[in-house]
Amino acid sequence: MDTSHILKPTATVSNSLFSKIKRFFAAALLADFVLGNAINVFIENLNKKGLLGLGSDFQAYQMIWGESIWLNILHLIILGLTAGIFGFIFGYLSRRVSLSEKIIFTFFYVFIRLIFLALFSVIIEFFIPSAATTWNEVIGLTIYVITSSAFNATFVILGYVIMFASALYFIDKGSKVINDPYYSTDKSVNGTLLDVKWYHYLWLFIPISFYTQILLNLLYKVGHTIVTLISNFKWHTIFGGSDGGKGNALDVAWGSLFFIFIVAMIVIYLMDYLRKVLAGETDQHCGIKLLISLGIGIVIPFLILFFTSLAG
Amino acid sequence: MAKTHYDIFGISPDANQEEVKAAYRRLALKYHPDRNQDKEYSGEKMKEINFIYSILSNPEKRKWYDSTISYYSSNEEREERSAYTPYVYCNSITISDSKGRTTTINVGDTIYYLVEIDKSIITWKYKSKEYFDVVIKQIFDPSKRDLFSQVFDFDFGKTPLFLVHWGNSEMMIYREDFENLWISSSTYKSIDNRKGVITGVILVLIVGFLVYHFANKFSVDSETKARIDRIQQSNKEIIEEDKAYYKENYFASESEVNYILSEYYIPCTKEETKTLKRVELFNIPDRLGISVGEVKKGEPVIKLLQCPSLKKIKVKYGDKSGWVSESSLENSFCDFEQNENLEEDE
Repeated sequence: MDTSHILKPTATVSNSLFSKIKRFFAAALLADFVLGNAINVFIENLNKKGLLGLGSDFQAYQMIWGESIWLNILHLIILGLTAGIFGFIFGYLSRRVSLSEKIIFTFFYVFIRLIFLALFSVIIEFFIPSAATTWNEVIGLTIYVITSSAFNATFVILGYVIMFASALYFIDKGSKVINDPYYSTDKSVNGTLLDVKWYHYLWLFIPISFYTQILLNLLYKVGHTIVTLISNFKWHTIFGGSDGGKGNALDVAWGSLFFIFIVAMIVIYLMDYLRKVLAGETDQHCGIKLLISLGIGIVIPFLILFFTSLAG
Repeated sequence: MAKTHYDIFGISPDANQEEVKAAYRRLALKYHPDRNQDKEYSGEKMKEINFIYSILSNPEKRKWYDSTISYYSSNEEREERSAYTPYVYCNSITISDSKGRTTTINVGDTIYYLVEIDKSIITWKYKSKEYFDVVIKQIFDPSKRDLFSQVFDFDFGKTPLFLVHWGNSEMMIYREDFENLWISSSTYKSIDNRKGVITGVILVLIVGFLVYHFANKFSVDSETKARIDRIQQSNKEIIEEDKAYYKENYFASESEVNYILSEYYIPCTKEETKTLKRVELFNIPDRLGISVGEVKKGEPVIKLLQCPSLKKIKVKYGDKSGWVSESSLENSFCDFEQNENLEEDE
């Protein structure tokens, strides 16, 4: 069997440690501050609709989501998902990652907040010793309040374990995808994600987080529509019976299902078209490209935000 | 046409050792990561240059490499000729590598060669040992060794084992060289795993030390702990009382109580009003709630809770309760009722 027709695995490109640190921050920012934040905003919106029952002072970045075991399990799933997205993007961007690097970078991703907290404590102790005692007491009390409940402590520990396992697993998956001999995207140019150069992501976080928010809302509406259809469907109408012809939740559900499908298709098409424009796959004048990029990336999201309820 | 080592070094196959060395220095200077912006590419190129130099600078290795050049440089001719020559390849082989590990290697697998490359962190210069990797393109079937001479036109002092490639460069690897200098991907993985476990253990030790250090640093004395426990217990009792009150008097669910306690929903004085049209009762104050029943136009309902931000009111109708929009009620004004328990608590 001759393998020369197969694309060269990019695993042969071993990025330097400094490059990997850059990619670590890129993946962490994209996963946590763009996609993770979109998920958190969506969850907070659901709570404001009265669906989660966590009270109006709830914020999604809290370590414990109320007293409900199911909501905390949902929180664990979201933590695992976000860590998985980080791992996948990091593995994908880094090409080859050794097990040692996987462990070290995952450790930094999972405990980055605690590391900053520890560093901050050291800095305070060093530069403002007078405030160090108060600071230590505040942190100590916060830790005690969280860990004094077995329920809270269990979910905090589970959260860290799931984040660690998920990130570690998906770094491997990400590096395997990019090194698949039949996978052609991002093979030829370094520093690209879906053939779009890394610096575009400095502004792309606006449309990405926004369209992610819309897709999450659409996903929720699909779930809602299905539940409404099942719970309100008058089965006798299948056999020719009449439901009185009155408008109710069922009609709204039928209508929204069609609407959701159309909007989802448009959003996916717009994002794909924006990717093609930025990756240089379209043959257009650079002025047109700029207008299309700004239109899809900035103008349409803001129009949707101000004039529709699609973004929740 | 595949590139030879000489093509990459930019020298002729007749070049002497001095010329090889000069070419190596020139390329090492050109691709050194310190002198290049694209450090990923230059780092990889340095590995390739060091790998090639390890062959061309060694007279014996160079001799064996030279004997196979005609094989790489005539790709088209080779393909043409293969139609008339016996098939001497196989898809996999079981063999020991330089670490003594016996594994089955397949076409398309990666094998590794250790090279030493110069690195630096700011002004600190050091040598780093890294693996240069190549992909196996063809495996020569050892059982057909007698037929090799019909396929190739060079001397077999050694046994050809793999034809490997990286980019558009090719190279023949002999069995003797593979067993002494190369490692298989499974050996590479086991070395990687060993390093990973050591890293993990070191990290656990560091974390253990830090946890111990910060647990002492942020420790709370037993008196404060007892005070916090008392406050938490007292708060819990008060909240339980409030919850019971709202559940009993406002038919509020556990979720709704949380919104009342955080002042997102306002408890009304339970006045009666009438519906202006036929309305559906929803389980949450949002249009994406689930319908739990309906009320006909002009029917009397009792106002229980109000959600000002969503302009919805929870009403009781018969034995059902649910959320409707303020606009569907004759009088949507909600007179706030103060919970006596809360007043006492304050």
